[in-house]
Amino acid sequence: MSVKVELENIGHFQGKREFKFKKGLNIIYAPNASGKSSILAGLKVVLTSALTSAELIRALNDYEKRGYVKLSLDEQEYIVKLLRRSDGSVEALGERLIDNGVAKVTSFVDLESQLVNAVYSGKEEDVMKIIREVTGVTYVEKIIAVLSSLETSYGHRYEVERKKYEGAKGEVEDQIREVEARLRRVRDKIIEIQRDPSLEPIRRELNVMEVERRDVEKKLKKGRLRETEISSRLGLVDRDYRELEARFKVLLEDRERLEAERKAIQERLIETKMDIERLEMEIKKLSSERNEIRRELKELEIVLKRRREILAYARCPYCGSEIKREKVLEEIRSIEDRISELSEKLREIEDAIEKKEREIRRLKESTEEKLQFIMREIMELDAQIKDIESRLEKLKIDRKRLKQELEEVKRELELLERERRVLLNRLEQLSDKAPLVKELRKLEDEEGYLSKRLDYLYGRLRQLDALYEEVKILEDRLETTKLLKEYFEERLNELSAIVINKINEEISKHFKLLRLAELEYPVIRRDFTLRIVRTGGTPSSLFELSDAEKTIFIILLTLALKEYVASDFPFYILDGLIELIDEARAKVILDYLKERAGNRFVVIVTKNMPFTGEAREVHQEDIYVNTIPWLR
Amino acid sequence: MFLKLLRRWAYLAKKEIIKVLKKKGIDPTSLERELIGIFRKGKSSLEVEEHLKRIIERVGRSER
Repeated sequence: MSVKVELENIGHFQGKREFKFKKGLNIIYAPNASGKSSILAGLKVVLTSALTSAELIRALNDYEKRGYVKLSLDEQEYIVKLLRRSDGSVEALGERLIDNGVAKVTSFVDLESQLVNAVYSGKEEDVMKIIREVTGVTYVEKIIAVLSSLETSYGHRYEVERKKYEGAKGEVEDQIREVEARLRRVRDKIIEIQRDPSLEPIRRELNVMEVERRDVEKKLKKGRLRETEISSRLGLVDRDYRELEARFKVLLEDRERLEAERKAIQERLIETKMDIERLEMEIKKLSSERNEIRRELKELEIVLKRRREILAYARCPYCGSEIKREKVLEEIRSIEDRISELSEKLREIEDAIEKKEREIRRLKESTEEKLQFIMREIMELDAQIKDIESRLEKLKIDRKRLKQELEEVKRELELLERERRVLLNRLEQLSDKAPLVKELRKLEDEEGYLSKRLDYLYGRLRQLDALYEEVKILEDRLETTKLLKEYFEERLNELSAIVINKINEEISKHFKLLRLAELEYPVIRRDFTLRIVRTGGTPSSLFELSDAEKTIFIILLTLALKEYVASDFPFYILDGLIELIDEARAKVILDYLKERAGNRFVVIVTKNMPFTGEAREVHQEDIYVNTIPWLR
Repeated sequence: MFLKLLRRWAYLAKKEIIKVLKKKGIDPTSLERELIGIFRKGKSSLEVEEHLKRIIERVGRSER
């Protein structure tokens, strides 16, 4: 694996720098303020997108408005540009190696890392919180919290609706019981009167009438039930129709709005296309100017090189004439001035090109891409509108059919009522023959009224059952939420156990480091807390460890986490921390890191103490591959 | 032994829950992946809640 990093205006460096790394252990050994961390800051920018705004601001050189990092990893290239905005913040543009924050926690071990700070400050809870976040346990906890809040919300709505339904149902059932009792009493009395001997002269006629009346009552009951059923179905269809109609209106309004937007963009389109063409022409012109300047710069550099070479000779190696040093120096100065002037111009042109390219992108986004987006939205809306139209049409037909059925049933009921009244009139006429008939007629009238009331109450009960459908839906949502919550709680238990076992297992693979920190295995308990026990069994805490032990613990933990969650990430970077460990143990750790990295990934360690050299900028020669410079 | 029994019971309970949820049209395993993916993209709990609501309420409607 070959790694080449090209930096421009990053951190400590002004201008362009290039560094090469190899797989295995790379130690950057240079004095303080030489730019070691700047190289790593640049790497961080191009390796992960999960950087904070403060990290981005620190990555760009304080005196520059723009910079970039180019990483060549095997055959792949990643370029990230940094641009300082007018408000002072820094924007990063370009493709990074990965786009999540997991590798940042496990593979960038520096004083900006939350995990490192939590360990040094001895906050065990914070350490465990970060481990839970990195391993995904926190996400499951968050999902459970969301489901709990949904459970409360659905539970409350379900209880309110259920109580409302049950209250109404209980009232109707009480009324049914009361009416049924009254009906029983009335019917008993009717039977009693019908058995009376004083009715003997007209009994036969009465019996025929009774059969007819029962038949009419039966038909009436059936008709009324049908009437209630159709009414309630009509009510539901009406409600659905109104809801769909409202949705239809909203969709039509949305469509009109989008259509207006589309027209406005299309009107602007020609103008925008002309603008884009103009900008492209300008870019073309600037590009040719840039190429011209580059060519001139190249030529000037060659001339400058020659002039400098000439200074070393007594006579000009090209023409043989005597060298006038003052004149050559004057020429060199003038060439250098011209180079710096041209470089400044080149920079300005590049700025202008980038600005124009951004403007083209913005114009394209605001017209062509937006137009495509609107067209897609309109198509989607059209499909929805068509679907709702067909559903509305179907509901209209249903409504018409149900209304016709209701009219028919009402007509039938009217006829039956008339028949019933005729029967009661005939009964009235018989009252002259037997005095009890009058009372019988009154009771039968009451029976009719009570039957009608009972039918109405049963119909109401049916309507309530239709309403219960809504309560059932809420109950079902509540049940689904509870099931999901149970599932995720179970997953949390499973995941926690897996994570604890896996991290402990990974830590046990770094037994050498565990011994070096004088700690015992396992390091994480089943209840997801840290177990810091010194060799020999003395319980301790993170807070009680020395800085060197804490540093070894950090290396141990990050290596274990890296193996678990980011084993494919080809870097492990340790910035500065190694200085907190004594030479002997540092050597063991570096040897260990060299062995672990092998051919799999790149380990970069920075070190400045004890550095006896002068203050200067870091060079490629300061990067030592698989050797420990201060022990050579 | 007790722990083993407890784990076995938990495993069976989870299997049963998955069965019921699948009957309702929800695959909890893929839902878990989806939700964690949403969090990993840096979205908030509110967005996860909206996503879950859509799924739970769609189940209610389809059954109706």
